[in-house]
Amino acid sequence: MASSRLPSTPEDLQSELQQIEENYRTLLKVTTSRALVAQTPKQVIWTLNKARLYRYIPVVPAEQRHKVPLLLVFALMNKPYILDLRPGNSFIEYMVKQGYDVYLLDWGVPGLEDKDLKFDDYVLDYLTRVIRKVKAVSGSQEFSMLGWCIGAILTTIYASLRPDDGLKNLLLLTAPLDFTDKKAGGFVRWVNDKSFDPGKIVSAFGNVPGEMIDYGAKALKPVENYIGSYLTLWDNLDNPRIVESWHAMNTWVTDLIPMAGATYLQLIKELYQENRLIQGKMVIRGENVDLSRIRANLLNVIALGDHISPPCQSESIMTKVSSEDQLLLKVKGGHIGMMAGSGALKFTWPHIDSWLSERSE
Amino acid sequence: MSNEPESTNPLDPFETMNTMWEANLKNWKSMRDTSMESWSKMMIDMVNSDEYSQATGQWLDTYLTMSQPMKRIIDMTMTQVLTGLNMPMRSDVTSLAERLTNIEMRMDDQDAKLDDILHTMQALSASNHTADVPATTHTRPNNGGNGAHASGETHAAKMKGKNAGVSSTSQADAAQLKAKGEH
Repeated sequence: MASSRLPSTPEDLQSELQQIEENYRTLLKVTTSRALVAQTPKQVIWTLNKARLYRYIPVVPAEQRHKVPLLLVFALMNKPYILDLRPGNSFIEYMVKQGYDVYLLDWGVPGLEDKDLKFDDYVLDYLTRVIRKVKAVSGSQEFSMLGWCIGAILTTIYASLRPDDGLKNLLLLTAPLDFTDKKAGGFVRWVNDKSFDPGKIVSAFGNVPGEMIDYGAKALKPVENYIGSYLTLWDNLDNPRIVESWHAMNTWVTDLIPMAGATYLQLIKELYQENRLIQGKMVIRGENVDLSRIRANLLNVIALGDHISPPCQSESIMTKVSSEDQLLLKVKGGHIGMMAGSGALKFTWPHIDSWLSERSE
Repeated sequence: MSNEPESTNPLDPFETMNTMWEANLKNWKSMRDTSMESWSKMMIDMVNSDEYSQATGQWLDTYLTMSQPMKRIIDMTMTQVLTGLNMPMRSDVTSLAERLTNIEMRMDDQDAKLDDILHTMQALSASNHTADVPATTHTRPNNGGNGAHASGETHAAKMKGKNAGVSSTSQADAAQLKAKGEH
């Protein structure tokens, strides 16, 4: 914020007033405008309904690139540009520079006509087609797939249902898969209360509004999210690096999208309440999701400070899969901060790169 | 570079005020951060309690129960108004969007099949090319010719199979689409 010294001369006073005015402008700008995000050059190579598949323009010559392409699958209830937040703080930019052929699946914003979409549709209608396109464009029959949050659920289901489809490396980030502990974290407690009826929400709204999902996520840490975040901005208004970073993150956090009603219902009932996935009881279009069928090399990244998907929800998959090559990586940070925070470049991305590069030839 | 603090004049009232102001500001910030931290911990404990889960669930349930009759009335009125005005309703638009998605899916399937055909043709032309090259230099040119011929036959058979596949799938798709449309 402004100088911590009292002005002692008219010049000091003038300079102090100018600084206050400047800070006020910055505050107004970052709280009322959108930051420039997702700037890594890319092209759309496939579309279906609201979904888009992007291929990032390689910057490393073809002969030096890794042979196995990397497909990124983000969650359904937020925009995927958190993976490409801003230059210098972009996982995608980092991986492209490391020589990967990177593809990003953007699920898009579901409309009312998509309210009946389920995990079944996302996995078997969308993900299979996306993978087919990735293979066709890259010319590689093998591929790596990184799933984050709900994206990790989708990629896990896919890896289990289609183990022979060329999936070489499966990377899971903060994957909410095991809901055995009904007291672990706020979400699992809230949705397991007998008065909570997800069916009623879906029948009232069709798709679950982004604002409702956002409230749920923010209410897990109310003081940090509703007050602390703004105090951090206030304290650092004269630090352009922190202000830019805050602006970009705030743009993403406030860019809300709804979640298809049927998917929400399935997520709450079949996963959070009945814990079917980890028990091998989940059925996708008549096919049983048996995690022991997963044979791809597995990197499971867990954030130690994750309050949305606590570590206990992600760890147990390691004992359920048949992958001979598997690694559980615990990193500092929270659910989002682990990949998009200031420490990601130091603590998370290099680990992912070093694990994946050895397995992408 | 010197690390020594600047000399201050204790008799300068502005300097004294500044020192006090800085110290107060620092104290206030530290106090604020400490209280925020304890407040945060308290709130996290609260939202993770069974009582909070119960209260939230009940509040949501009440809200949804209360708002539903009103929503139903609005929906019914809108349906009557739009029908009276001969205008499409939301359900008409969403049904159209669903059908468009189905068409997109069929197109994507066709696109994939075209990709397969192109790849097969490229592979064939590459194999023809490699078969032709030794034919001019090889000591047994007939082998090269035979190879190419055999390869050509295989490709023709493959193409026939593929085309048959495309055709039958297209018919099935069309039937499915028709059924969905009728539905």
